[in-house]
Amino acid sequence: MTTYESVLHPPAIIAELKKNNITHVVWLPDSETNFMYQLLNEEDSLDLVPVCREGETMAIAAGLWVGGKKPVVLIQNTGIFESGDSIRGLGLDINQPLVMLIGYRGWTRRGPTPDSAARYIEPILHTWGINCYLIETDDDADRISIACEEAERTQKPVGVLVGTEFGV
Amino acid sequence: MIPSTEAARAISFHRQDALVVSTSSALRDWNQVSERRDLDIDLTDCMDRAPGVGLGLSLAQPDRKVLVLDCDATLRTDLGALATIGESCPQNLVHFVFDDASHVSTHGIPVEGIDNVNFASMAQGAGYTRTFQFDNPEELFIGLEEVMRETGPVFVVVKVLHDQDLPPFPERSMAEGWSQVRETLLGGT
Repeated sequence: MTTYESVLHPPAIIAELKKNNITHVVWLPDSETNFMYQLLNEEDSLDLVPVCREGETMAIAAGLWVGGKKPVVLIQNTGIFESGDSIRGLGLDINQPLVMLIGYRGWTRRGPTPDSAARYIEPILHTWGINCYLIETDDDADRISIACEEAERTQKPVGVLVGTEFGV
Repeated sequence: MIPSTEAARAISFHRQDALVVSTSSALRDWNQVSERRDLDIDLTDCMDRAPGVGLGLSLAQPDRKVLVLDCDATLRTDLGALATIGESCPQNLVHFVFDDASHVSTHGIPVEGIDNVNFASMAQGAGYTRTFQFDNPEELFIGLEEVMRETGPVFVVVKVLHDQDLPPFPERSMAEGWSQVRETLLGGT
């Protein structure tokens, strides 16, 4: 019997960010992404911008973008709910080609999904007309490139749902 | 107190080629006096987010001054931005707050207890390098020289009074204005 191991390692994500010439990662530091933080901190080509609340990420990314940089934001799905008005006004309405890496808290591929943060995130994104991609393993990481290309082509935000905790 | 348009005019005089992010009633005043609209980021929506936009812009353009023209009513809805700016500590950022004694955002009715809030103390505690406060037009005009020389992030409270009839918001949309600034910056002018 074949077992399916769902592991996503931070280096796979960072390689994708570098490949797409991302300059800044705007994020809310938390326990789930701590290992990612260590690697990001060691990466000279990426600058980290920490925030106090997730809604700030969209505004900071918007400022970086209008200033000629290419940021992504990295927050949990709960933070997307908190960021709603900023995604509307500073993402969609100003045509910002922003890739949002979204921790998919509560995601279960099989069986019930008791966490409402997981149940609501995709319908919310779809309501805004924001397309999203799911990544769960290193093999999925190239969907970040697809999202970056789509954001540039459509000049709007695109979501990448990170459906697993990072492996070490 | 300083008439708000006069405060905007003084900042415009000292601006040089700084990028300016303005919001709410400060944007209305700024729109009347700015001579470089191609370097102005307007927030006619998401008005509480001016500090965040200014932070992003200051990190993207470290060789230019970035001025944020905020208001007391908008800042009090996004106080966390002070800590976020303090943590990133952009040396080229000057954060102005038009502290409105005429309370235009609430039609002249003061928010109860708002005088208990000391924005300058908060900014200082959050990690801004220097804070200033002005309530006199001449002192503002002269003091701005020092403000613009300081290594940021700098926080400046300007006590303002508005005319009864506020000037209009800009006619251009946010998307149009932001696109214009982006083109200016990427074109190198």
